[in-house]
Amino acid sequence: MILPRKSKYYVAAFALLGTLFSLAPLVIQWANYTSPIYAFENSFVVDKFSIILKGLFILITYLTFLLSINFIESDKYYQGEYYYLLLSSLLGALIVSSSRDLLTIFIGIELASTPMFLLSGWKKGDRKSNEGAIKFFLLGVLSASLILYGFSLLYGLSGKLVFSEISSHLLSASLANSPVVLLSAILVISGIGFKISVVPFHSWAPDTYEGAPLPVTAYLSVSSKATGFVALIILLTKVFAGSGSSWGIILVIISGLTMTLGNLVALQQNNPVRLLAYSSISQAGFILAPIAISGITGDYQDGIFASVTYLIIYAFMNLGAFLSVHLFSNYAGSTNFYEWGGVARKSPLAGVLTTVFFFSLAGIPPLGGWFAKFVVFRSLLGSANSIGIALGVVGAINAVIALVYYARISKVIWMDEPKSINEEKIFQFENPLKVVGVFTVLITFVSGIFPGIFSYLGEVSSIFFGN
Amino acid sequence: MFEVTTDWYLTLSAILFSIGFFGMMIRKNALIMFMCIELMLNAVNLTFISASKHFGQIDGQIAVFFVLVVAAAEVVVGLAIIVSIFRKQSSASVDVLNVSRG
Amino acid sequence: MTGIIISLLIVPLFSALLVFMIPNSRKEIFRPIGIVFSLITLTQCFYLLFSDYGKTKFVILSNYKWIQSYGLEISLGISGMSTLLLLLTSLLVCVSLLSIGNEHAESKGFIGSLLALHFAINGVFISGDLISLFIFFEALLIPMYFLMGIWGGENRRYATIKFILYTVFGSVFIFIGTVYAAVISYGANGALAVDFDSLASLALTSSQSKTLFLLFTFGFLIKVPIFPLHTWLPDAHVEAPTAGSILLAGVLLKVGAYGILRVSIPFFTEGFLAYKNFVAVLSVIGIIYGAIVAIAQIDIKKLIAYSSVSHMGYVMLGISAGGYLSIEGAIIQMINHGITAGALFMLVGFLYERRHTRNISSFGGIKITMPRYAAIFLFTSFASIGLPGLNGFVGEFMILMGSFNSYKFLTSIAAFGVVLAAIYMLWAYQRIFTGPISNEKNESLKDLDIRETLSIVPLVLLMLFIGIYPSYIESFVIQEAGFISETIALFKDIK
Repeated sequence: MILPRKSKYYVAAFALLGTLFSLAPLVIQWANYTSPIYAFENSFVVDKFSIILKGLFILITYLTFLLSINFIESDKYYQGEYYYLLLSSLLGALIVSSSRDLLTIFIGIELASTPMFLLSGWKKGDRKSNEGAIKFFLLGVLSASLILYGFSLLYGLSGKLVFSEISSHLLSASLANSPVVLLSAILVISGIGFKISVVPFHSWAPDTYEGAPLPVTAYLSVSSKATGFVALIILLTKVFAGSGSSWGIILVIISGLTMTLGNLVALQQNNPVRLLAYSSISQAGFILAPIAISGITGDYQDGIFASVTYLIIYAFMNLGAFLSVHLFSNYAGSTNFYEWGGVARKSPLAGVLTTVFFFSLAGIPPLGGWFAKFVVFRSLLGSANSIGIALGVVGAINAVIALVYYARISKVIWMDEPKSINEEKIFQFENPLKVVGVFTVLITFVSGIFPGIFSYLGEVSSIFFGN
Repeated sequence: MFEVTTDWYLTLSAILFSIGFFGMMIRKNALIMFMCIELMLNAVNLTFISASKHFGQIDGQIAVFFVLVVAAAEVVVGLAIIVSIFRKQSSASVDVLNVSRG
Repeated sequence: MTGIIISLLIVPLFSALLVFMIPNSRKEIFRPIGIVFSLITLTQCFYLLFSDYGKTKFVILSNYKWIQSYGLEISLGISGMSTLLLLLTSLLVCVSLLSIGNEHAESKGFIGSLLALHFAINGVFISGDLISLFIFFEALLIPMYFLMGIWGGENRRYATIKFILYTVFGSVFIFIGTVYAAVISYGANGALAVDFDSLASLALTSSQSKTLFLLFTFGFLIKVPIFPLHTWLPDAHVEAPTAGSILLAGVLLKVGAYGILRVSIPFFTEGFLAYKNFVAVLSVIGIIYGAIVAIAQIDIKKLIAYSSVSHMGYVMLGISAGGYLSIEGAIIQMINHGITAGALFMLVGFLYERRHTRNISSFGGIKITMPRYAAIFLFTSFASIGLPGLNGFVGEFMILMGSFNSYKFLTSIAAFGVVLAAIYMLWAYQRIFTGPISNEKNESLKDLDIRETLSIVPLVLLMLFIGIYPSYIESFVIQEAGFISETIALFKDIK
C-alpha cells in the first residue's frame, strides 16, 4: 500500500516472494523438530500438526495470488489493498492453527475472516458482489458473536482461558456434560458452522461465492473453510473432549444433512460457481463426518487424521476446479455452463485439467479424491458403531449423486455441440494460471497414487492429541 | 433487600444476547441488524466481566478489550460495505438485495 | 518374473505418454507406435503363458509398501486365468489398432486413450489386492469415457453418462466392500491388509461373508452385465467407436466375471453359497432374454450387444453352478466370447466405415460385392452360435455339462439359448448378405483390403484353433478352476 502507484506492479511480486519465503521458517522448524514448543503461557504452540497446516495455508495463499495476478490487473482494482487483505487473512489462519487459548483462537478466526468480508465485495459496482458481501458480513459477525458467547460461558464456568486448564477443570469438576458446557459447545459449533458453511448455516455461501471475484471465491472455499475446520478440530478435541458423545450426535446429523442437501441442490445448478459452492458444502459434510464419529467413539486421533487428510486433498483439487471454471467462464463469457459446449477442444490442456479435478472431486481413482474418501469411509466403518455405519451409507449414496453433476460439466465441455466457440477468439491461459494448474494437478495425482505421504499425518495427529 | 450476585449479571447478559439474536433474525434493515450484533457482543462482554469479577481475575477483562477491538474493526468493515451498497440503491434494507436466489 | 509383471503396466503407460508427447505434425506414426508397443506386451504375455505361472492358481509375486502406517501394501500377482485374459487384451488392442480407419488412427487422443485403457485393464488382471483392483477397475473408466464421449456416435452423450453412472454406482459398493474388508482385516491382523493371501486366511462370520459377497458381487454384476442391470450395454456398444466396442465386449465385460471368480467366490464363499441360486436364475433369464431381444434388433451393433448379454449369461450360469467343469467352462467362455464378439464388432466397424449405417435393412446381397468379408462374417457367426469345431462350442458345452447336475431345469432352459443364437445370427446373415442387391449404394462396396484382412485373421485363426484343440487352452485353467471349485466344495463339507 505504501508503494507509489507506478510501482503497483511490484506489489504482486513482493506478495508472492513474501509468501514463499515464509515457508522457509516452517521447513526449518520441521527439520529441527523435537517436541512441541509452547509460548505465551501455553496459549501458542508449535507442533507438527500446526506446521503442516501452516504449510497448507501458505501454499493455498500462494496459489491464490497466482490466480489473482491477471485478474486484478485486468480490471483496475486496488492492488496493494487486495494483497494486504489476503495476507492478513493468511496471518489469521496461521494463528488459528497454533492457538491454544480462547482469546488467541478468537483473534485468529476473526483476523482470517474479516478481510474476506471486504474481499468478497471487491467488485464494487456489481450488485451481486455487494449482496454477497453484506450477507457474508452479517452472518459472519453473527457467527463471531455466537462463538464468543460460547467462550464467555466457558470462562464463566472455569475462570480459565487456556484450553488445557479449561478441559482439566471441566474434568475435575465433572462438568463435562453439564448443560452449560453443552450450550457452549452448541454455540461454538453453530458459530464455526457458518465459517465452514455446513447445513443449516450455509445459506450465505452460494451468493457470496457467486458475487466475489473468482480467486477470492477459491480462497473462501478452500482456505477459509480449512481455517474453520482447524478451529473446530482444536476446540472440540482440546476443550470439549469430555462431552464428545453429545456433540458427536449433533455433528453426525449436521454432516449427513450437509452432504445430502449440498448434493441435491448442486444437481440443479447451471452456474458453475454456484455448483462448486454447493459441491463444497457437500464436501464439508464428508470432512466433518470423521470428527463427528470420533466424538462418539472417543478415537479422536483417527478422526483428526481422516478429516485433515480429506481437507488437504480437497483444498488442492477444489482450487484446481475453480481455476478451470475461471478459465472457461472467461473464454465463453457465460455463467451458464450448459453453454460451454465443446470448449475443451479449444484448449485440450484446460479440458484435461478440468476433467481431472472434477473426477477427483467425485472420488475416482487414481486421482487424489479417492484416497480422501477412503480414509473417511474407513474411519466411519472402522468405528464399528451403528451410527458410523449409517453415516457411511449416507456418504456412499451421496458419492454417487455427486458423480452426476461432476461428470456433467466434463461431459459438456468435451462432448456437447460447440455453441459459444468463436474460432477467432483466443483462449486465455496465462502462465501464472498454468503454474497453478500444473501444481494442483501434480498434488492431485501424487496424493492418489502415493497416499503413503499422508501416513505422516497419522503420526502427526497422534502428536497433536498427545500434548 | 436482594443481594445482586454474579448470577444476576449472567442472566442479564443471556437476555441481552437473546434479544440481539432474535433481532438479528427478525429485522431486515442492515443497520438495525448491525446494532443487534453490537448488543450480542456487549452481552458477551458483560459475561466476561462479571465472571472475571467473580473469580477475582484479570483475564476476563483483558478478553473484553480484545472483543472491543475486534468489534470496532468489524464495524469499520461492515459500515464500509453498507455505505457502498447505500450509494448504489439508497436503501439499507436487505430485502432489496435479492439479485441471486437459489 | 516380477519385472515382466510390472512391465505389463509400464509398457502401455509409457506408450500412451509417448503418443501424447509426439507433436500432431507426425500423426502418421501414432498407429505404428501403438501397434509396436502392444506387440511388445503381447510377447510378454506369451512369455508368461509358457512360464511356470501360466497354469497356476493366483500367486502374489511382489509386494510394495504403500501406506506404511496403515500396513497397506500393493500386491501384484498372476495366474492362468489372468494370463489368458492379459493375452486376449493385448491381442485385441493390437488388432483393433490395426483395424480402425485413418480418422481415428491419426488422432493422438484416440490412440493415447486406447493405450491408457490397455494399461488400466492390465492392472485389473494382475492386481493382487482389493485396493489396487478397485483403483484399476475405476481407472479404466477415464479412457473409456473419452473414447466413447469424444469419438462416439450421434447419441454418445447419453450413452457415455449412462455407462459411467451404472459402473460407478456399482463401484461404490465395491469401494465400501473394500473398506469393510480392510476394517475386518484390521481387527484380525492389526493392519489393513487386503491382499488376496490375507483375505483367504481371514475368518469371517456368516453375516460378514454375506454382506461382503453382496457388496462386491453387485458391483461386478453390473459390469458383466447381468439381467436386469444390463441396460447400459446396448447403448454403450452402439455409440462407442469400433475400437471401443471391441475392447468393451472383448475385455471390459470379462472384468466383472473375473472379479467374481477372483474375489467374491474364493473369499466370501459362504455368501456365494447363500446367493448362488439367485444369480443362476438371473443369468438364465439373461440368456433367453438377450437372445430373444437380439432377434428383434435392426441395428447390427445392438444385435451383437444383446447377444453379449446372452453369452455372458452362460458365463454367470457356469460360475454360479460352482462345479469344476462349469467354472472351467466359464473361464474358457470368457476368452471365447472375447474373441468372437471382438471380431464381430470389428466386422461391423468395417461395414460402417464404408456405408455409415448399421441398419440391417439397408443392406442385402452384399455377398456379391464383398465375398471375402461375407465368408469371414459367416465363419465368425458360426463361432458365436457355438458350432462344434469352433471355439464357441467348447465353453458353452462345458458350462451346460457342468451345470446340469446342480440346475437341471435351468440348464435345460439355457440350452435353448443356443437355438435362439442360431436364429438371430443366421437370420441377420441372411438379411445382410444373401439375395439380390437391394440398395444401389451397396453395388460399389469394396471388399476388405490387406490391412483389414490382416487385423481380423488372427482372431479367425484363434477361433479355429480353440475349436479343434480345446484341451490346449484348457490346460492353462485346469488348476485355477480346480482351486475355485475345491474352495466351494470344502466349504460345503464344513457346513
